[in-house]
Amino acid sequence: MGAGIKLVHNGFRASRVLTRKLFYLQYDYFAKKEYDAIWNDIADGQRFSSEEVKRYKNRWKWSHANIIPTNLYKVCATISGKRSADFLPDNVYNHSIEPVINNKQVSHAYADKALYDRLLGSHKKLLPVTLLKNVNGIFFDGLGNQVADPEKQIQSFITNEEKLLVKPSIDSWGGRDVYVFYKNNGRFTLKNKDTELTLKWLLRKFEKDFVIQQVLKQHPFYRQFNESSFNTFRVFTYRSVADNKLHLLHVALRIGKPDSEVDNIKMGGTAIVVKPSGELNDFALLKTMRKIEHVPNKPELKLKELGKLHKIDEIKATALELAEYVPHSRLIGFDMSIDEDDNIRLVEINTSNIGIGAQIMIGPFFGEFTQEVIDYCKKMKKVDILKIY
Amino acid sequence: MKTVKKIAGFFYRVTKKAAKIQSWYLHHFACYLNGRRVWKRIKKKQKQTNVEAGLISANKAYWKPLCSMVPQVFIKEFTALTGIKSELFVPENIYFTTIEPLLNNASISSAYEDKAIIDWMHSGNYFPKIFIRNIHGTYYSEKGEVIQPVLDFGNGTIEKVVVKPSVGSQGGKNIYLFEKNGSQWICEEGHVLSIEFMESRFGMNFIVQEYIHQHPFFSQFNPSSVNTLRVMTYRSVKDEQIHVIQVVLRVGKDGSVVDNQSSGGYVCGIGADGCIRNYAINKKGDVVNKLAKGCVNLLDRMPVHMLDDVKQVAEHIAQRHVHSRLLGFDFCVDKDEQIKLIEVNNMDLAIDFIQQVNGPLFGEFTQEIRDYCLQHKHRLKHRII
Repeated sequence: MGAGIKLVHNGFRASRVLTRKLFYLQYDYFAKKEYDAIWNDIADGQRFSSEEVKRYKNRWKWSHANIIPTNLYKVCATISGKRSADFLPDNVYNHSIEPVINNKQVSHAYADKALYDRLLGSHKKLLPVTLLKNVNGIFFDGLGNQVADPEKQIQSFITNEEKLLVKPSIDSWGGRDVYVFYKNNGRFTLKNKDTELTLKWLLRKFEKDFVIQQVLKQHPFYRQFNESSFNTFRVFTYRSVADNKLHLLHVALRIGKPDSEVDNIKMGGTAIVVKPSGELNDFALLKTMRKIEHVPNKPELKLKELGKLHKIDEIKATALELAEYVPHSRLIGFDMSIDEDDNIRLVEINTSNIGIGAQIMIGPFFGEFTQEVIDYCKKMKKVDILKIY
Repeated sequence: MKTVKKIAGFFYRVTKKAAKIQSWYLHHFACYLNGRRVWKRIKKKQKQTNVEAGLISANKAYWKPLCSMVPQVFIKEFTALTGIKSELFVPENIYFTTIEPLLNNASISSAYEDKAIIDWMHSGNYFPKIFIRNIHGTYYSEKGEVIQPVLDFGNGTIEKVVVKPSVGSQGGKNIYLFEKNGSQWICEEGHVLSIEFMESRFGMNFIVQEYIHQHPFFSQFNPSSVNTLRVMTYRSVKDEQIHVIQVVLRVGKDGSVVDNQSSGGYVCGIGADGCIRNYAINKKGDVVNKLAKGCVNLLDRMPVHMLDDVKQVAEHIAQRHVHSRLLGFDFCVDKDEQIKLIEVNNMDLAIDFIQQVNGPLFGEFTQEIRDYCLQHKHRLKHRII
């Protein structure tokens, strides 16, 4: 290799390292600030010894994180009532754990909602019915046949459908850009708006990579939590680095805010952790981190009185079966629920930025597997990809 | 808190922008330096290297709307080697920074390159048998069950196996050929095959694969390497039909296990008539008319064995790769005349050798690709690994 090319390569390498470091530095800073603010609100005279805090810092100092947010430990320990150094800092998870236990170079492909049917073999029946999808600019119908006239295809939905769900198939998170269109005078429009579902609108909004699906109707048991959204479970599965066996880590029920069509936390929804017994946790958390003992916005639904959740064991078992289809990721978050015909449905597979907030309510994210995860991540090299837009 | 957040946000946005600009220019510069290095070598060795000024300016005018940086070295190099006078030759820097990222979705395509799941993704008997597959640290059987790996291949009937990384490998690096020696498997470098060896060498994501005994037509070029056909397909942005746009034959250097040009191998062009062109070129720009120590004379322009069948298989498999409009397949034909797909490439496709031996990369599709890229240039994303 010539000296000039070597110089250019080294310059490029240095710029990559610098950008990555700055990205993580600002991430660390905001993680710390976020938990500092929460701790200020909920501290209420709680005391933690300096040894305890030091033990927590030592537990995670091996990671690439620039800052260990000790207030995260205090918040988690106070709310969950468990004083364990295993509470995983968000920034450590993003820096040093997810890029090791999940192959981020490959995992994006598994998050493509338009191609779940190819991935899931016999389990594809769990997916919502896809009517039209755009993959890299190419239109396909639900059966995977190429569609020559997508405009005509969209018009044809008027005959059989009352509502349509439109969402991006890749690079989406937090319920962003998810739209529900309603049949209105022979056309599909957004609720309370005149925006009509047309090919032109789709291409302007998404350009490419999106799906049009039938809207799932949820089971009455789950509808009681919030009628407007399809309330799903986020089921976390983990393939152990010690024995390669699949385990269920946590389950959380996500509930949309009133009148919202999505259940994502980012869009105002809440999540309540499910106990191993299959019942909802004894308390839910408001945005202010105040504990409440009923379903948010539903004071009549007392968490302790709801009993075992409908078909929760079947959902857990199905998530473990589904995890077999995603070999490049050890940690996966499946969004699943039960439809009105009592069938299990899979809405989404998450392999990156999975969200580890459940630990605040129920205890350390990796629980009994924490030590093996730490040992593994110390030993193995991470493959990290940052997208710069 | 809000002010700090605002300042930090601004600082981060500035850094991102700087990194984006830097990576953009560095990519262009690296491609240019690489092209200049090859051009200098070719200039020394070729007799006819004069390229008309009109052709250079036509090439510049053609690609300038897509990118302001259109180096002259590429058109000079490709014209001097092929003798084809066309402004459609694609400058490498524009290909890597603009065309490929717009035609292929890089963040998704890595998964489709994974050699450990290639036979799970596609139907048909086109793949060498995989004896051991390690996917992100876990060993799987052919049926996808988690297993404990054993070094017993094909019930003792197998004499040679290939061990290689399954994700993110380039240029034939870290590929080992192991031969059975009594109860052990030993490679040329003297390593003994074991699970510990593979885990220490690759960490994770690797495969142990059947060795392909290639057809005599292909082994005549160099018997030590599996000499593959690199078939490049393109899914048209106009009608979504798959087209085979280029085919070249890659030949390993004497004694090499791999056929990659970066490992010393040669590339021979294949014309529209299905015959091998009359010269081959290596990475250093050495042009030869004879291969296999003079035993194969390229001036004979031999028709490539089973080329049409290989093209058909490429078109069939490309249908499944919806996230990538451009694909590079490495095919070989075994001794039983079975077509075998060694790997599918959808990122950082090596295009230099194709234009060095075959002519303009996209041929008749150049105009539609250029127009598409112009129209969608705003979509370009940058990623940092």
